[in-house]
Amino acid sequence: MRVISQKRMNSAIMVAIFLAGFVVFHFIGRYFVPMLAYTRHEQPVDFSHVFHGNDVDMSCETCHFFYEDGSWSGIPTLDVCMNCHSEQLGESEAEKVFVTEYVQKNREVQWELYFRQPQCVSFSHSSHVKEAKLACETCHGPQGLSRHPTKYIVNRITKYSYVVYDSASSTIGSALVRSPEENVWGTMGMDECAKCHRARGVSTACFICHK
Amino acid sequence: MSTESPQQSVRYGMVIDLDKCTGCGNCAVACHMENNVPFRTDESDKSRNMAWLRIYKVKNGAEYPHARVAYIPRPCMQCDRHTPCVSVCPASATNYDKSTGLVDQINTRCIGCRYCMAACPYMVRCFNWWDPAWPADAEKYLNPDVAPRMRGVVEKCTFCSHRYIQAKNRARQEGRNYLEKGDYIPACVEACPVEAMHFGDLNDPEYEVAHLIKSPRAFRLLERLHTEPKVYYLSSHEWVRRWADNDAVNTQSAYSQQRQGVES
Repeated sequence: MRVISQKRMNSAIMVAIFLAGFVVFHFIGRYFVPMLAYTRHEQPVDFSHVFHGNDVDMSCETCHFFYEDGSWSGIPTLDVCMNCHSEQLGESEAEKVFVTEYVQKNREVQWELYFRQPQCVSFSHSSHVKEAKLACETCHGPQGLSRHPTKYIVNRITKYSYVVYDSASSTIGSALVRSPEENVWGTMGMDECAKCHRARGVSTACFICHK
Repeated sequence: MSTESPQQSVRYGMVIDLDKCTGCGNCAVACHMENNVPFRTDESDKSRNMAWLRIYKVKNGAEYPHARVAYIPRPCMQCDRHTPCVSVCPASATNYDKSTGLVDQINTRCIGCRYCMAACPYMVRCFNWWDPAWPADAEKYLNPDVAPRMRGVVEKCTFCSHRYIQAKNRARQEGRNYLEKGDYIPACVEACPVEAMHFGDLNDPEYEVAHLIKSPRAFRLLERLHTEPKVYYLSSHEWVRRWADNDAVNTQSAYSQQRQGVES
């Protein structure tokens, strides 16, 4: 048998202890405190899609629409909101905050957007909505049915953000980890795009999305 | 990877009339602005500077009063056959789009090996030796539709493929699933003040380019390599064609022969 020096033995033990510790703490983290990997941001304004859509009876296109050149408006900017909210209309606390903090100070609301894409991606809403006839919910989830804005959850390491559409759920953390397909709508990461493209038989060539 | 000359429906190409080109450089400036091409304070080192469209000046080699100059604007040739850069790329960072014939570059996929730069016979590709830096105010003028590149990747002319995406968006908004003439034009063609540059679908007779490439004046750069570029040039001067074939030796004799032909 080969003689192993005391020094090498010691360093082997150190490595083994480190690896054992890594495995133990990885599993503790993964199954007992999974939300440590995520930071959670509240949205700045408590916006209700249901109130605007059902109670005020506005159509989605009032705020989310295609411009004439085929580009997508996205989240409305302050001037769209100010078409109605130039002063307070109702009595809700959320609107009061919105009017005093943003409208009167002429400050854009810094929404936490989980669908922001990196610079190297060119996503065309019109190709997905007009040509492929996808419903908004396919990627965004049932956002239109939310009474409170969805929370913004972002992985500290990967920086991927997740939208959890059931914002009333108190078990958001465990939902994210245990049954993502039921409660979490998606990451808007490249894997999700590629998965859907593959499932529908659309090209997955790089230049389809990347620029 | 393109191995055969593809017979697809749409093949975007360009025709540049060298008899009209004055070498003003508008196309190159427009290209720089449109595509966020970085620049340095000192641009004198041409082996390190960046340009998606370069303008080459060629001379006929004769003495005054017979000295002549021509300018050859050179965007990416968008080679149709055995696209040299595409076939060598180990990271699949550059691609031949069979639906349009455009050769695109995925900068985030590029590993910076510069094999494509060695393969490209037209010296089209540029390497980012440094992270791009713009003067503070110039950042406001960057084009939001084109992602700035980072240090260590290769970039190239894409025939303004972002404009193709925008044109398609606009077409869909108007309820069309095809592009009409004039919907999609690269920035350089748009900027040319003497209309020396033409752009369009080489397969569609509605476009002027489809006829221009059949002109007896039409030729391409380094045709003997058979990369089948989709950028055509027009010139009535034989000596310019010799230059385009990198045949410097015969440039002057070609010029004098043509001149004698005209005089006799």
